[in-house]
Amino acid sequence: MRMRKIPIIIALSTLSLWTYAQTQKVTFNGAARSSIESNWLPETDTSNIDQSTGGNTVVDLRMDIKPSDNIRIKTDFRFANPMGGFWGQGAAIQLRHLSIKGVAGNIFKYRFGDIDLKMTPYTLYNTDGELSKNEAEIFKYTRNLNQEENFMYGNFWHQQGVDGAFRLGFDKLIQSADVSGFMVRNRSVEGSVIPDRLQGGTVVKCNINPTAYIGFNYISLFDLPKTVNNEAKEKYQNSVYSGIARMHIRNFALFAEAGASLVAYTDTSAIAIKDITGDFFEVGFERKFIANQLTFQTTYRRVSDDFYSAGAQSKRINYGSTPQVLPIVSENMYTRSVGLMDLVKDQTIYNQTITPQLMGYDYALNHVTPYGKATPNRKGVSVELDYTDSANVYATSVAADFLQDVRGEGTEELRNYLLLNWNGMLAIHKLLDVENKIQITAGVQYASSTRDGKGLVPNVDFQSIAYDAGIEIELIPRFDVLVGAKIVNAEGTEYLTIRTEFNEIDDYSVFSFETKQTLYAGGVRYRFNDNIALTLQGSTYSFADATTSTNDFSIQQVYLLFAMKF
Amino acid sequence: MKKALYYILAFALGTSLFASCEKEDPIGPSLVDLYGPFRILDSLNHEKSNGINFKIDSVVQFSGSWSNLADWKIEIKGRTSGAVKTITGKSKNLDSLEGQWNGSADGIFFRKEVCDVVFSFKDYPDSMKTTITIAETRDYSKDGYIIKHFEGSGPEEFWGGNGNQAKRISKNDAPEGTNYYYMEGTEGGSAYWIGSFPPVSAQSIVGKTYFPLNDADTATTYVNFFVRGYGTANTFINIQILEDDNSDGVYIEASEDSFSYRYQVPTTATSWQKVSIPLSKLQTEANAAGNSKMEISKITSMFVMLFSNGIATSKMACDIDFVIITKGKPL
Repeated sequence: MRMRKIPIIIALSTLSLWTYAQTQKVTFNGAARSSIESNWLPETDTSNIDQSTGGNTVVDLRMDIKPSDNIRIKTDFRFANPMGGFWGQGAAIQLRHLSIKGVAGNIFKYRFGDIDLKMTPYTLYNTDGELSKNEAEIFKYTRNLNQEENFMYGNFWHQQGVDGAFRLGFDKLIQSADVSGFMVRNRSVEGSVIPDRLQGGTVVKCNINPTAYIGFNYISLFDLPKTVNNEAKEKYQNSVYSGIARMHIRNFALFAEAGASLVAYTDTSAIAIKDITGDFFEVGFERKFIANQLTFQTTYRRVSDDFYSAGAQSKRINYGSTPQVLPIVSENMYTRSVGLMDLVKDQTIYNQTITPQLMGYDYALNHVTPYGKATPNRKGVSVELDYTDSANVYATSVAADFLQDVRGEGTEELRNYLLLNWNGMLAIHKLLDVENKIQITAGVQYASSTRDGKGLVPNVDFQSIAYDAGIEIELIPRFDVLVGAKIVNAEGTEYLTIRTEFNEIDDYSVFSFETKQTLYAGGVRYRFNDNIALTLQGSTYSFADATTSTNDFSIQQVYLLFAMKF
Repeated sequence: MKKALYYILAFALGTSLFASCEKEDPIGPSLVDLYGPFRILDSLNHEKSNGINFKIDSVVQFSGSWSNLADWKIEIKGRTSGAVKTITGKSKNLDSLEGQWNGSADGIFFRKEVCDVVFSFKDYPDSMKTTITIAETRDYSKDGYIIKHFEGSGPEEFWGGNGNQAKRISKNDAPEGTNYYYMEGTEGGSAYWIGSFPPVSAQSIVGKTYFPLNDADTATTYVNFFVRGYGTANTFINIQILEDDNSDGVYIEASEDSFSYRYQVPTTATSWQKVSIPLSKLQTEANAAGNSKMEISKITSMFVMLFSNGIATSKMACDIDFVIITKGKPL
């Protein structure tokens, strides 16, 4: 009996040793998620489809392969099965991520495949989605999941291509220089008509000392006409270059960035028919107080009306998309646009492509800086004050943008813009010194634009105000009650600008509206551990249009989500 | 180096504040042009105060200007014929091609007559008026291949009918020229074919075996005609084309295709109507024996017939005039 056990013990030992050896080369991790949701319109809506249900189960299996000390291969396989996809119907296996990265000669870092890229807010930057600052946990939780689903990590753009970086050391003038560059494919050939489009960029950052640097950025989006046929001459190019500098003196920091853009288009006859140049600059300083708990920052920026930077102005949310949940609503049976509920719940509204045309936006959510700092035709002062106490009991932030048009749109009069933002967090459990988490968050955003029509044309007078409030209560250990509310009111008169494919203003459409959106949500969440949670949420979303009440609608939703990371 | 950087930043700050004081020209179209107070700057006019001869001058150019970019409409109405032409556009003046009229009409044609011209705006109550005299009408023969216009003094051959059909001459009543044709017949039941003009061959119209048409343009090639009813029920105009499928120069009924379209004359259409039918709407005839594929480049001839729907009817009647094939757009 003992003799028979020996080969088994040897075999098991060998297997465990082999597996141990393998774990040196390959590590696994991943995430799994299963969701079920039901959405319905009120009984008073007799015109449209009243209810929709959906859900799916996805498992992302990530492999980190280390064939040698200096090379890593990352893969992410997704196994997905929609709810109701019995016996494999609708099931899919996708390769969601594939990248190879490494270091050559301990000097040169490189990456191939799926890479995340970011430069500066004027060159390549994925500006945050609207009303996402400090939002209630119940909204943040689902929004973050949807952003991860779309590879929206921080302000990076997820792209496919190659990049590399290295550092040079110096003895004089500067200590070191960081040099990096990338080339990604923005668009592939379509038929024999639309050529390949690439985007490439480089960053040179000269570190004068650990607290000061100057640098240079360059990025270009450009066509490769020869990828369609030999006769093709059509070519589009959007290039942006900038210089940047930052220096710290104790708690004081001074920074600036300035640059220019170029949009060039050559038609099929090889005739250059567009050559648009724009410029921008931003200068500012930052000061920290109270042991770095309080930060004050102020900047002045000027972005010309013809500054176009596809990498910085492409929007994270595609407001032209059709919402996934109950898109046809109201007595008028119209296709609703992306609203508050979709911003936090819909994973299909995200834009994953850097696009040279300025994308549409929702005036009710933020019409002052729809393209972030790189919004063209803006100049003015921004001020921001952030405070977080050392124990993280309180946190608050106040920001204000006092902006103006650089050039009048259709008139010599300039619009004046105001964007105010306040956010706050209070960790009550820390204040009361109790173990279970009790935390409230709140925020307000006010945006306005005004312009005197001088009695000749309608005045611009448009305001929107957005409120956000949330509370998170850990009733018993790991069992949370989550409540949140978002309200957006917008009213007034503005001009919608209609632009050509090269973003030049072609026409206007004056509009007036008075709308109110509300989103209330409540739910419970049980966190099995820091990586596994089960959440049940109920929410109600409504839209009211004071000028056309037949456009009003509301949607109720129940949402069950199991999410884990392993 | 740190000092140098400090100076660079200070210079950038100073430059930026200086630059921000500049006042630059507006961008985009003028808002005053689009949304400002509206006023007429130059009233409606044209350069043909002695009358327009459309056989010599291809177009008449209207003029006029106003303060705002606006949607506008010119309506020209013949005092004698009642013919109407509507021209629309969006601009601040009529100096462009949009403000030209080539003598064509929306329905029945203009005659040598005085026309009232009314100019109006979509979004403003202002309007302007003038008149224009047509000295010579537009030559429509340049617009396509005329199959039948019934002009000339000779008799018009018509097969079938009940004997009352006849060419009629009235310079005030014909939608084009001075002549039109009155067709009349009786449906005893299940006859369908009531009467017909003899087939009109491409040879007789264009001097070639086939009409010079392209197969790729089937949907944008039209057969047009004017028709006027007498309130009779079950009255149809049947347009039939004959194809030479085997390209031997001759249409053989037993082995080649024919296509037709039956237009029912509405009982309410007791004034002249302009009808335009794209050839793509013609259907294969039941007895067609060719390749069943419409090839308009092989049309050798065309029939224009008085038809019924097979329901016994004591009298079916209508007037017809100016049958023409046009390419690219309807008449």
